Amino acid sequence: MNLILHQFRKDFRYLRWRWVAYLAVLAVDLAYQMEWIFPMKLEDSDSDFYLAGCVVWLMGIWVGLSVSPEDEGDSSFVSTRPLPKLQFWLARLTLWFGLIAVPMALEAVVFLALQGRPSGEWFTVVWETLWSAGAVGLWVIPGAFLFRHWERYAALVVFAALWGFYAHGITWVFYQWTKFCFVPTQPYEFPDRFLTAAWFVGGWMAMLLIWHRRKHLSLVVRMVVLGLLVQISYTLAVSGLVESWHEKPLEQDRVTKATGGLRPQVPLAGLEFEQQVTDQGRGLVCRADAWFDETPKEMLPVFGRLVPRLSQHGVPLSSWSLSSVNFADSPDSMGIEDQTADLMRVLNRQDSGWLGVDSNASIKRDSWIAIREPKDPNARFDVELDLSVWWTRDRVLGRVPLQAGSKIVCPNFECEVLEVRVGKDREGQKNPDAISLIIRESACLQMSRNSFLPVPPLFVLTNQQKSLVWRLPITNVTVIRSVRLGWMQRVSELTFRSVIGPGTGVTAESVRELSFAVIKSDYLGQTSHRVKWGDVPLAEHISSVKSWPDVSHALNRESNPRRQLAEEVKKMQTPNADATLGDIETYLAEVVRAAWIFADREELDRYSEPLWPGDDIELIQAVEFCLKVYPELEERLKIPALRGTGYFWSVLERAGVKGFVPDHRETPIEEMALRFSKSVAPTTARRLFNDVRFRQLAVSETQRQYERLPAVVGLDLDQLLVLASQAALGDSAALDWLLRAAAMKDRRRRQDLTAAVIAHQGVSAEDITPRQAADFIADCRFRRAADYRFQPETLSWKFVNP
Amino acid sequence: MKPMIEIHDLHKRFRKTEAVAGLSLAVPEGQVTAFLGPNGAGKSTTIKCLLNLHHPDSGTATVMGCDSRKIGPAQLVHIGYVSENMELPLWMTVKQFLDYCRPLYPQWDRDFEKRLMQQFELPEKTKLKDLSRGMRMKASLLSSLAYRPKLVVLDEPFSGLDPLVRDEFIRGLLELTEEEGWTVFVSSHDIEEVQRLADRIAIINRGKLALDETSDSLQSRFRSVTVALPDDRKPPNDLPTEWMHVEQVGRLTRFIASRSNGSTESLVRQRFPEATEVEVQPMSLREIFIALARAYRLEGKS
Repeated sequence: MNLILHQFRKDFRYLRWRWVAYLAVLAVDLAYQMEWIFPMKLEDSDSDFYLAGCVVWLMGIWVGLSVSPEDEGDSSFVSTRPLPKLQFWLARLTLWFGLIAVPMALEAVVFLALQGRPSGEWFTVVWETLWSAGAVGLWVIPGAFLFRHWERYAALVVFAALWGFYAHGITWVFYQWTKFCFVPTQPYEFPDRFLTAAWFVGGWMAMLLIWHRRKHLSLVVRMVVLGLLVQISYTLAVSGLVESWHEKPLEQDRVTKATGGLRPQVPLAGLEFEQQVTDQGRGLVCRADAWFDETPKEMLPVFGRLVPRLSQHGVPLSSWSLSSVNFADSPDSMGIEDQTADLMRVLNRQDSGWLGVDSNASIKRDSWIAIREPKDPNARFDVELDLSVWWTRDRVLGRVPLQAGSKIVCPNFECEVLEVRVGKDREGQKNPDAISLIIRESACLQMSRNSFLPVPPLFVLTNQQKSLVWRLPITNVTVIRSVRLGWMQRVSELTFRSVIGPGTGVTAESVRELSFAVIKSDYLGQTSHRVKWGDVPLAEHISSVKSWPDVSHALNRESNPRRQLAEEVKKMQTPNADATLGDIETYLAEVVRAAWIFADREELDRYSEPLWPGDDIELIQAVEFCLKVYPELEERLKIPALRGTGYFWSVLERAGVKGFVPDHRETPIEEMALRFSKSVAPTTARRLFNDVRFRQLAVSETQRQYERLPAVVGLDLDQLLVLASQAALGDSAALDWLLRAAAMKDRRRRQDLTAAVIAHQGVSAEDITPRQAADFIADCRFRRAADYRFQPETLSWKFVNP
Repeated sequence: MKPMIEIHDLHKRFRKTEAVAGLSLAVPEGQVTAFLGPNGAGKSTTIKCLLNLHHPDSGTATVMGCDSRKIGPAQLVHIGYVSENMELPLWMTVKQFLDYCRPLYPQWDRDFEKRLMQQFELPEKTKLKDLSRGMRMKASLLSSLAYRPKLVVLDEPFSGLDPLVRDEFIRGLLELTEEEGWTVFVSSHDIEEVQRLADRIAIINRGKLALDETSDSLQSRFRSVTVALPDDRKPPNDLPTEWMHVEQVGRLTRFIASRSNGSTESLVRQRFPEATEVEVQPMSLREIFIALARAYRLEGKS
């Protein structure tokens, strides 16, 4: 008779009720994953799916650790019976796979069948379940004989405690060791990593059992060794030595071959070191422009880790990581913005001119590393930049009207819009410009066949009419099921902001005209690049931390500071015309000090106009008097407090007072040309375009920077200046973009009005006031470039379609 | 005939305790050898080393011509083992238990099994945990005899059994050993349990073999001697060393002669010329064992 089956039958007879309990847990789990019981609700905890998987595995491990009492210890019945050891262990193995692994696999198959998944996935899930069970079995089967009775439960507690506690410990260890290249992965995020590590380390459990059988190790020794094995296994799993299946690039060879001759463009001019104060002290954080002029067909570059190094005479400056959680050189850490590097092209292959609404994407690449600020920043340094680039292929999985019931169905991914909440932000809060969606996703999430990782799908809204895209939804709540069974179900609430409003032209009623699309990035491969510069004057690339302007509202003030200044000046004793220079200087100093004290009289309102009424005539007259008596004071009056607004200076000019406006002198065109690449602006650009000496330089630089602009409406001021300059060249596409960018501005906000003024500079050579800018914004919402005609003589556009 | 079990200078230590300290012993084939010793003498350790349940630190042991370290299924199929400490599948019924054991032994004899069932009066459908200790031992013994092993190893099989059950057990065992001619190696801490069974006696004391001879030989050389003296004078100091446990009670002096022969009485009279009476009596195995045990204990104290 087959002694393996004979021993298996004996063990089964002992364990049968525990096995029935395990089957019951599997049945309940199936009902739970199918949502026959406790259907998914957004109020559920997003870690429930993890707990459900743990319960199933714990039950299986409990059965696996159970041993008939007569088979335990030195006095085991079977040890003096002619049952070969190999057959005994094969019987245990049969028990583990037959009673634990196979039912678990069958549960997964039944689930997939009920979900209508193809039979190919059934085989995959069976194989993967058996592979997982094998990894766990390597620990459980010897563990059942390594510990007896209550020791087993103690061992499980030790295992679980170490698993949780060590996760934090190993994070710290790797942070100290690698600094830059570690992500603290979690078992439920990367189960195959942990299972692979368990395969490698689990064999040592058998060695421990043999050792125990020979030497009768104490419980403490066994627990300590078990603990060490757990830690080694966990360390191996998170170290990066073990790779998860879905982290493997799909076409690394093709990527390497196709990108072999490519070098990223990283201009020295775009290199910035921003001063920051961190826990480790003052440091410089590097940012750089980086892009590829050409990319292989169907491959999109996503820039990842940027690692700078500064050195002087071969000695590098020290550096440290800014974040307590380091980011790995792994596609899992691709940012959402990075994913959409060329989203517009992917989304609308035939169309152009699509703009993103809800992001201010920058081509600047950031580093999470700070470099110790050198003692002498004026010195020259050698700079090295290491860049990682992930190459992806983005696919539009589907695009459907934005309404409840819309569904995108692909072979390995499905997404259904369950509900559309107009004017609602997260969790139902009111937000007039927002749209929240409740969506349900189903994705193939098997270890070897993963349509979800490493880069999850991206959800976007599109407005075909206005060629606008919203691509940065906030994922408020997520509830997940059936991850273990290979066909994940996920219900999420997404919120897209800045959707409804006059700028976008979307109303609550026209929301249905929007489209909902899903884009998937496939991770093809990775390349690394290094850029070096020698002898770089660091000081030219250091920028201080920008601070917001401090503006206090007039309503907070008790009285008008202009009036207070006037009263102060009136109180002063005005010297006579024959007063000495010293008396005049003293008087002037008092007047200047008073002007400085009440400097906040120069606050501006949102239209960039003076907040406080008055004309400072008393101040002007006092200064004018001093200059008339002693004209030589004119050169000496370089006092910051008197450099007020244009209003003040224009009054002085009308009063015939000269010499106070050194900043208003006209910059020589040669100097403009020299600085143009660092500050492209339409007023400067028009001057250079009109000068045959500098036209080509200005045109090529404008076009170069224009082509680098991210396809969004939310451009920052510098980017808007570039756009306006390009429009001033007669580029109708740039004009159209400018009008759409301006249309999105908020007429109530001062910064937006400033941006609109800049935008207008691309349209017309004339200045407009902030009040006029508000009207300009409103106009832009209904205008297109086709409504304008370019006037080459003035390098401006004329509105011809009233 | 080659011994069924040969042990030569066996050592086994557990941490600081040397359980077996140079034991050498030969168990002849076809006889019942009783392996006696007080608690902690090293009996169970020796047996476990024989059956490859422990690895000896040094020395050798062969069982049925096979090194004990290599004892495996091929040898165990001919060895029956019953131990008071052996884990039985208490959750099984007697029938289930025997059904489990049967396929492990190709030479299992079903008729013999049935006969033993009747002889031991074991209830088939009762779970082992619901049987008395004695019945459980019988079930264990049945499971170890039904395949007619060449060697039966019993480790304290009578512990905790009441005299009636023990008697039944021994009677049954006697019958079978006489019938089958098995080699039986039985350990116990009490000779009374095994004196009816044993052809040979081996006594282990503190890990070493203290005595190894046949029952007849033991009984032939041990005598209990009582000397009556005219008064309560003390006995002389220079008595032979093989005269053990000399004690005086009034005018009587008693001792155990461990090397007795036909001239023991005359030797006594030479040493006690004033003796009025000398009585030399044979001893039971139990009495011999007690005397020896006392002697070993005194040795240990000195």
